[in-house]
Amino acid sequence: MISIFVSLPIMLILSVIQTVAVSRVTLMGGSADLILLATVSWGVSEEDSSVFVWALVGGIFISLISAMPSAAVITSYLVIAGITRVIQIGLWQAPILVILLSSFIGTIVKFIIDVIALQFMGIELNLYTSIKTTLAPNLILNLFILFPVYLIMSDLAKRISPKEEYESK
Amino acid sequence: MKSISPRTLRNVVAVLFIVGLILLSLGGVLRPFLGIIMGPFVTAQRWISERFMAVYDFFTLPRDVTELLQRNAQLENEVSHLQSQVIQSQEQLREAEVLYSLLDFARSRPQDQYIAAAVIGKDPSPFLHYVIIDHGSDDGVQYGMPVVTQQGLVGRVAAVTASASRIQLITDPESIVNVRLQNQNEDAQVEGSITGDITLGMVSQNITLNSGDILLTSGLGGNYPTDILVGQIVIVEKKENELFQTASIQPVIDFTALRAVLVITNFKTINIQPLIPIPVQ
Repeated sequence: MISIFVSLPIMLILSVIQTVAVSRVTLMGGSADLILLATVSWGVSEEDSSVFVWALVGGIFISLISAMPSAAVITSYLVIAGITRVIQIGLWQAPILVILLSSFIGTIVKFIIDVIALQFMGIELNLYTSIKTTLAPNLILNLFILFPVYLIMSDLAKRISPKEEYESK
Repeated sequence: MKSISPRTLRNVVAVLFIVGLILLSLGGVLRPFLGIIMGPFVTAQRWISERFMAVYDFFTLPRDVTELLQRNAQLENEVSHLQSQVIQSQEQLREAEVLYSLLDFARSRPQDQYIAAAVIGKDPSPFLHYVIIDHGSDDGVQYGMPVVTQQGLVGRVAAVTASASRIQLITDPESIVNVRLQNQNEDAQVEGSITGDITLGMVSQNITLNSGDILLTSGLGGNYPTDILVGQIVIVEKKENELFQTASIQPVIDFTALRAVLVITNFKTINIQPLIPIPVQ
């Protein structure tokens, strides 16, 4: 329950950092996605469905800032949360593999949802160019900051609900 | 005759002996003898002195080092404080330069009224090209207002909240700006794209485009004021089988380094949509 309330300030801070700093650090046309990485990291750290609440909160904050349609933004983060849960259930013994796979697949899924949303908006785009200038740099930049974000989020998860420590004692 | 007492005699002898020793010492006769006697004393004194000074240093030197360390830390703090002040001053100077140049631009166009705003963020989507500014409806910013810098056209206000606004840049794929070629007085359109490149379109094949040609806003469509610099032609693409020729445009503004902008507040955008005839099915 606490984790749900904590998601509000954390996702708000991450949204601000995303807008102010991370979005400005671009490689070709792509940039890292802090909200995606935070959602994935939370899903791996906390093995429950609170990840969907984090995805929803992050999606709402980003949709308030971004010109992308709100439905597309929120849907993409919820789908990423679902992917993380599915992979996490299947590979629960290998959290590093889960976080790598989830962020990789999540970035691709978000790209696909964004492209579909742009088609609905009537914006033409060259798919090959978009993959080269947006998706590939996104994947690389997400990989760069994935582990620092995961460390922070897993530490936060342990502080909020230290169940693993009780189990080990 | 009074006889000299043995005690007096002994004293006199002792005095004479001492005086004799002093005279002999002054004369240098006793130096080898004194050297033999004083040598062990000097050695012992040196040994004791060295040990004493070591002990003295042991108790006093660490205090000095601590003081030095404290002083060093204090100076380092001062240096870092001064460095941060220098960085702050440089930042303020840069902002002041930007604001001065914006002010110069505003003075050069006295017919317009402006609100200066700082760019505080960028749209998280890599596909869309929007920035966030720190002025909103509370400051008089309204939807559709044109946004410029001292260099040229930035875009227009696309969304407004009480304290912030979202600006659609001319590089956004949904942006279309009506422009005219400065030298040829020919109307055309500049369109943005996903990659952030802008392209000149709707130019008749009869017109000769040259790289370096300047593009200004034409005012057609009622979205932007006239005669604001947009960019210049870089590469012309002319295909014989197409109705219009196109050209790649170099915008006058470096959108990655956009720090402050001017919102033109007295420009009323005109919605011409109702005037466009609907094609009969």
